[in-house]
Amino acid sequence: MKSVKRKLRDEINKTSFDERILAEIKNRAGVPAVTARERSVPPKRGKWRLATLAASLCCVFALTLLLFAPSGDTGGDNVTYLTINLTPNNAYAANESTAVEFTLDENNNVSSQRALSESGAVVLMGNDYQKVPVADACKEIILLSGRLNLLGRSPVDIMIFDDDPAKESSLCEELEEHFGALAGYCSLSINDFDSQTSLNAQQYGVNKSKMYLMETASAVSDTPFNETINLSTPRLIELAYGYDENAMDSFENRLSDRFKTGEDNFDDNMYQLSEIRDKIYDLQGNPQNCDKIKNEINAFIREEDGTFFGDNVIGGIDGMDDLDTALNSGRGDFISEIEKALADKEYWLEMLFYNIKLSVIDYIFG
Amino acid sequence: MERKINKYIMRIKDGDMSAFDQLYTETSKGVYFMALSVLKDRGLAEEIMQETYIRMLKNLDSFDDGKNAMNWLLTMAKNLAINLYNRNKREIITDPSLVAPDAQYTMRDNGLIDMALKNLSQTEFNVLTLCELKGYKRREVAQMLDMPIGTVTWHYNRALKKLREILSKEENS
Repeated sequence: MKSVKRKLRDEINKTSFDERILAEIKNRAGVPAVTARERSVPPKRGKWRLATLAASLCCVFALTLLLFAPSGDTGGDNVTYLTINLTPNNAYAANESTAVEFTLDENNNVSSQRALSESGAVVLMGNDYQKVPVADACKEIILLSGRLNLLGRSPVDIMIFDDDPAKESSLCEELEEHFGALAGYCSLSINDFDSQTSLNAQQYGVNKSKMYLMETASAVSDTPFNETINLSTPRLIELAYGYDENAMDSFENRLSDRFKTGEDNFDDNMYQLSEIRDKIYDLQGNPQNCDKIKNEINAFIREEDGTFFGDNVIGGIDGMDDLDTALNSGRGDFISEIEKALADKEYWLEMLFYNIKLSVIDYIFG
Repeated sequence: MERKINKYIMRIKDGDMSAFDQLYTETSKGVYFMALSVLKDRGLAEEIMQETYIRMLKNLDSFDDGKNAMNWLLTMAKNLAINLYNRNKREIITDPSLVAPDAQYTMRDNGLIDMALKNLSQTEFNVLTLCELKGYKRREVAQMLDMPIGTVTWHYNRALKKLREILSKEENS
């Protein structure tokens, strides 16, 4: 049975308007309509002829480049890159996927990590996978994404990019073995390029993974295909994922500020939490005090401009709905959450970071 | 989404009218629901939606790329709706059976929207409809409505909660 939210979303997005409305707007605003002559000319066919000619020229040009151009700017070292790409159920656009990139050393341990999307940055924040075996790192990312409700019905796409196809193949096999235990948790696809590349990789002297990247980078970023041939793998990954370094830096800075706020204000917040606990103990026992308790919590978790501090701070309570539930039917649990938090700084910080991640995911996906 | 809408408007300003169809497709529902939140009448909301785009096309010179385009459109729609409401105060149709015949949907198909329109405040209705519109992120909705994100979340949660409570009461009665 559909939830209220889902039903409402469907109703809202199914709303449609008579085509005459748009025509009327243009008419009244003096926007020129398409003339009969323009309608009778088949512009698309003409455009396709031009496009075909352009594509042929590009192919000839690309082949020429391949024969005579120097090798790509990979710097000569053979580095393995791995990307993990998840598409949550509520993501409507490609740039709302959760995407993370790992660079691997010769032992297939993570040597560096990079977020390729905002929600990828949230998942990575506070987690350093350097020197962790890549299979373990991938598994953690997938499990954490599940906890943050970022797993959708689409398979988790793992892509391995290495100029040495044998290396790609052996890492694929290793990951497939390792991820057997995740079979019931999510579906996975590793290096599924066959159905996703249209051009012949051998023709361009690259392996399938590189061809997939080149095609995707070209399609997503509107870069002419022949210009992708000499790009490095990390640059192709950036184009394929729509990665904007400045935007990501800015986002990650704001994100880490929120984490810092949580930690730096810890002592103040713990003091306030203990005050609230005392007030709740005074007030509990009388159902009429429920509103007073709510007000105390509100005052604590709400900042001066009306926004919530980390959207929720105390335990796993998510939004006012659950706060009401906790206060009305599970007051004991609620109190114990506060007591737990007061007793255990690590637990409190972990919950704070987790809740900030949840609130940021909510912020990204709406 | 916000950048896309701004780009369409700048293209229209440069004379590329093909961008207008795209702009209309991306924004018409948001504009419509804003007008509906004020007027509570679908036929009138459609009229205001039309009027908003006509005004937009006639006032393109006043828009610069630094502005939030959707905020601009929504503000225009809201002001036009309020003007119409004030002019027609005594004539606002409250009987659903008198909804204009060219309005596109039935009460049955839009039960939740009707319920939201009847029971939520204007702000809650706006936040809820914009947040549920495909392609609109909550951060963008906050900018469109000139509100902090936390306030948008607050109104959104309240609105959903109200609807759930009403539905639950209806089911139990």
